[in-house]
Amino acid sequence: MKRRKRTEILIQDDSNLAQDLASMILEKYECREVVMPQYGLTMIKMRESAKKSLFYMGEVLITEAKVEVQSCIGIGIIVGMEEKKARNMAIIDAAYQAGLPETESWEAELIEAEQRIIEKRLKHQADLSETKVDFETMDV
Amino acid sequence: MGYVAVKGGTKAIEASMKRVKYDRIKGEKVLDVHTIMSTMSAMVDQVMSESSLYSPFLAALSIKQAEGNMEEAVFLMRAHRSTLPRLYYSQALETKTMLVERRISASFKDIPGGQLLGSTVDYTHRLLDFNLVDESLEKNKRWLKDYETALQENVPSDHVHYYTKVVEYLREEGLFEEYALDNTDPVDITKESLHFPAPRSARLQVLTRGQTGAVTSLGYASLRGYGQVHPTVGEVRVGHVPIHVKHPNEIEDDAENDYYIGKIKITEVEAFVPVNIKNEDHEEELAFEIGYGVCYGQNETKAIAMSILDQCLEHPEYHFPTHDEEFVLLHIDSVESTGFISHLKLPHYVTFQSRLDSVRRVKKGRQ
Amino acid sequence: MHNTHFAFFDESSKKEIRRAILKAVAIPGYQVPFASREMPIARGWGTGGLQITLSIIGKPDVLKVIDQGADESVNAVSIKKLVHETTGVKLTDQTKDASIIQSRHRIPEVPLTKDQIIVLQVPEPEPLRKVEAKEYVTKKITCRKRI
Repeated sequence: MKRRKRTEILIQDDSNLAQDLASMILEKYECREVVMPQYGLTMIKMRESAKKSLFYMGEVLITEAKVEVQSCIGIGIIVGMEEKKARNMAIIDAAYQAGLPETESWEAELIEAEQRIIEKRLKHQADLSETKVDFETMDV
Repeated sequence: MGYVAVKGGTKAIEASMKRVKYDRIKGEKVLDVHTIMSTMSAMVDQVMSESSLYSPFLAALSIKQAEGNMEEAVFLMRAHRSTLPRLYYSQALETKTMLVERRISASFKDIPGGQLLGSTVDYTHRLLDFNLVDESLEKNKRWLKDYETALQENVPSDHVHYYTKVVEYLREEGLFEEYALDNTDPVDITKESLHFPAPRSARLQVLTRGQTGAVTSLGYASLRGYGQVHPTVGEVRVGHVPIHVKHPNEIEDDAENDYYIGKIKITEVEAFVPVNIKNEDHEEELAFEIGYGVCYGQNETKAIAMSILDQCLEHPEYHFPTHDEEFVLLHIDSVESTGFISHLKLPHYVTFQSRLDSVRRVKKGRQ
Repeated sequence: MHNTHFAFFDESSKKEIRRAILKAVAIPGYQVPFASREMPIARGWGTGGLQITLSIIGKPDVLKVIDQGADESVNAVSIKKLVHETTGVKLTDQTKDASIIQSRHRIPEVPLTKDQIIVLQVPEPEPLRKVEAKEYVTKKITCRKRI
């Protein structure tokens, strides 16, 4: 699974998946802390819809961590103050970078987590749709 | 230590700081930062937007420390921002990927996807609710339970819905000009000082972090006649937009290998503004342009006012201050304007003495 | 993780300000604008000068601050306090002992040596601002004068 998809799942997941996967790596491999979880900023680049040009909207607080596993460096970046999760994300990223066999077995779990996220989102949208204005009754 | 004890000011300053703390805690109530986060979201949003730093937790902390004083809270956030390293730049955010919480159009009744009111006070009647005086956690829990039970009847659809932008439908019809993606690197006014004429990217950056009141006032001034822009709101949308970051060292350009880092809540507005243009036969023709407004959090008034000012500044008009980019952009920043106004409180003993001396000399000369 | 960075700013911000200073020194008579950083002290309270001081200060420096002609005025005290708290450098009111002197309104009477730096604050760097409000215009006038 490519990075975009797996980070989308792991960051939005509210069970403890990132923690679980990272512990599997921590148990078996040596993980060297390259950058301890630190707070920093990410500048948001925005595409405006009037002329489709770019501008900087402002910064967002993030936590970043870097970890080395089997001579491969993984990065964890997450919005907010999330030291633990940033570090877990870095370990998982390193595991994928190093092509560790564990990562293959994660696929199913990640897809399951993705399904949970989608279901939650669908339910949220269904609830919101109560506030949709029905104009048809006005046309009568 | 070579610390030189200084006369006069030091003790008074320290005593005054103690006084600040005393005034904040003497009522013997403690407001939890998380309480601010969950019950004062509009204020948190406004602080994040004006300080140009997205972090609900830090915004809530700044509100607590500032005792609810907006300019002070924004000031604290901006100062904190200076201490943090900028580690990444995001990939361009596109609001078509927004998970919409609210989306309305004042231009069309039947927008595809419908008018989604979401959570809004627009249609509430502004009567003070005295029930809130005796609000209790227990009562709230019961209410939440009932509400959630009722929600259970809602049947989810089978796919996540992304709302197409109203303006895209109009572009398809050929009513609005279609622009190609413009990937010119934006100017960053936090890295280089603002110079004039300012590029569009700098203007939008200044507007989106402008003080809500200032942006609103100038937008309003333009509507009332001190400007030439009278828009119809094409679309207001509020919701969460995902942020992606490219790997710092990987060379290949594969979006699938970007990092998803989280999401932010924003308000985005497209205002449709009628303008006269010349067609190919040099005849006057009515067309529409789009004013663009966006800000952190849910702050629709500010985003709409920004869309008016964006359109104003796209068309400089000598007679109207709202169309003058130096006038607008140099006066709407909260930290700059409140800082400079408040500097008048600083001791100006020497400056003022020298003025007094001049006046005395002039008066003497006359006698 | 909540300790404030040495001299408040992150290092890349300091570097950018130092670049602007070098440019200003290299082009005599030319004012080099730099993007003002957000400060924990309000704008107009000496923050322009303070940004210069913070971007050049190092641990061995000794700082003197004058505001409205005095070392002990409330604002001078406040500026010194911020620099001291974020750097731990020594403070002095003796010109000869200082390696950096930040001043508003007054140039010290004691002649400075080449090892000393004076950071002189002015309320409005553009001398034409009183006659012309628009920066776009003053910049053009200043350019024309120089040619």
